[in-house]
Amino acid sequence: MLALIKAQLARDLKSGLRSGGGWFHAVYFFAVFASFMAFAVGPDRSHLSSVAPALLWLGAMLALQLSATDLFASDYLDDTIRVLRVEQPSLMPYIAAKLGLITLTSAGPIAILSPLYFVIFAIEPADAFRASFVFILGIPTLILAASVSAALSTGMRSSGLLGACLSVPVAIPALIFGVGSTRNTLETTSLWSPELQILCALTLIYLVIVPPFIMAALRFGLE
Amino acid sequence: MSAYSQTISLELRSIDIARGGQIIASGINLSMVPGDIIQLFGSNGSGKTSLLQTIAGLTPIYSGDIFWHVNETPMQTSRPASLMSFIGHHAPVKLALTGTENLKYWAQLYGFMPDNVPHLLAHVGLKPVQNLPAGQYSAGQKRRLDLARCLLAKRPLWLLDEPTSSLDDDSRTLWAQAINAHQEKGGCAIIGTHDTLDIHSRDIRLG
Repeated sequence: MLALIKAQLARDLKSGLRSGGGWFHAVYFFAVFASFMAFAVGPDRSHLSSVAPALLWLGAMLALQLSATDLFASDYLDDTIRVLRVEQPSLMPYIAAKLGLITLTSAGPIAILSPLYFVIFAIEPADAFRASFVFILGIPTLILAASVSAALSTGMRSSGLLGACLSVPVAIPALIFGVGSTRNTLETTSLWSPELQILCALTLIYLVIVPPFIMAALRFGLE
Repeated sequence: MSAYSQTISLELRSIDIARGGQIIASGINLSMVPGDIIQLFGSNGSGKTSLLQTIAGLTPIYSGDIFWHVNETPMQTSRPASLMSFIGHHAPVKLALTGTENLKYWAQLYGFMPDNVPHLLAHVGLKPVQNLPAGQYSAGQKRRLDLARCLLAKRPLWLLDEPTSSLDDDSRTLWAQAINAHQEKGGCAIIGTHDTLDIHSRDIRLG
C-alpha cells in the first residue's frame, strides 16, 4: 500500500514539476487574492484585523478548489484511472497519493505563507502564529472539500458547476468553524476554543468519510 | 517462456449489455479456459466495449452472471483484479514523463522491480525514443508503450479494447506475437477489434 502511494506521488510530482508548474497556481492565487483584499479593505488596522480570518480562510479555500480541478482530470482523460480501477484491488492508494499531492504542492505552501498574510492584515506576529496554527489544523478539511468537488466534476463530465454545488455541504462547515476558531484565538489569545474542537473533529470526520466518497465519485465516472 | 503461475477461467451466463438503460446485446454466453483467445467483432455501437467494461468490472452487470475460477477454484467474492490487464481506448501515458519513466511507474504499481523495462521498450521498438517525453510520441508509439505495459504486468487475463487502432502493420504483428505467446503461457484474452489479427482465436460477433 505504502509503495503504491509512493510510486503514484513520485510520478505526479515529477510530472507536475515538468509540465510548467501548474501546482504553483494555488499558492499564487492565495498570495494574489490576500494581497488584493488587503488593499481593497484599506489601511484601517482594526478593520483589517477583523476581516482577516474570513478573507484568508476564503482565499485558501478558493485556492485549493482551483488547484484541485486538475487533480483527477488528466488521469481520467488518459484512462489512467480506468486502468487502475480494473487492475488494482482498490483505488484507495491512488486517492491517498492525490490527497498527499495537493497537501504538498498547495495546502502546505499556503499554510507556510499564512503567518505572513495575517501580519499583512494588521495582526500582531505572536497572534499571527497562533492563527496559522489553527489554519494548519483546519486546512485538511479544505483539502478534502476541494478533492470531493474535483472528483465529482471529473466523474460527471461537463458539470463542474454541479460538482462545486455538491461539495458545498462539505466546504461550508469547514469555513464556518475555521473562521470561527481563528477569530476566537485572535480575540481571546487562548488557542483551545469550542470552535477549534469542532474544527478538529471535522478534520477527523472528513478524513474518514471523504475518501470513500471520492472513490465512489471516480468509479461512477467510469461507468 | 514459462507458464503463468496462476490460471484464470471465466464463464458468462446470459449476460445482457445495456447502454443508457437500453439493451444492445442480450443473452451472451461465453466460457473461457486457460489458453482461450476470443475476438469480438461487431459494428460500432454493437456493445464490444460495453461487454469488455462489464467483464472488467467498470460497469455493473445489467443482467446475467459472471463466474470466475482462479487456479480452477471458484472465486466467491468478486472479479480477480490482480490477474487482469486492461487496454482501453487511450494509453495511460503521462506526457511530461519519458517512456522509461512511464513504464517504471507501472512496474512499481504491479509490484515488480523495473529491471526489464529497457528490455521491454526495446521489444516494442521504442528504444530510440525511450528517453524522450511521451508528449513527443506519435499516437502509435503511445499504443506501443501500452503494449509494453501489458507485457510488463504478466497477468493471465487480457481485456483488450481495440488494441491495434492507429497502429501500423509492424505493431499489429507485434500484438499478434504477444497474444500468441500469451496463449502458449496459458493466458486468456478477450479482444474487441475491427482488424483481423493473425492469431488462433474463437470469433464472436455481436449485434
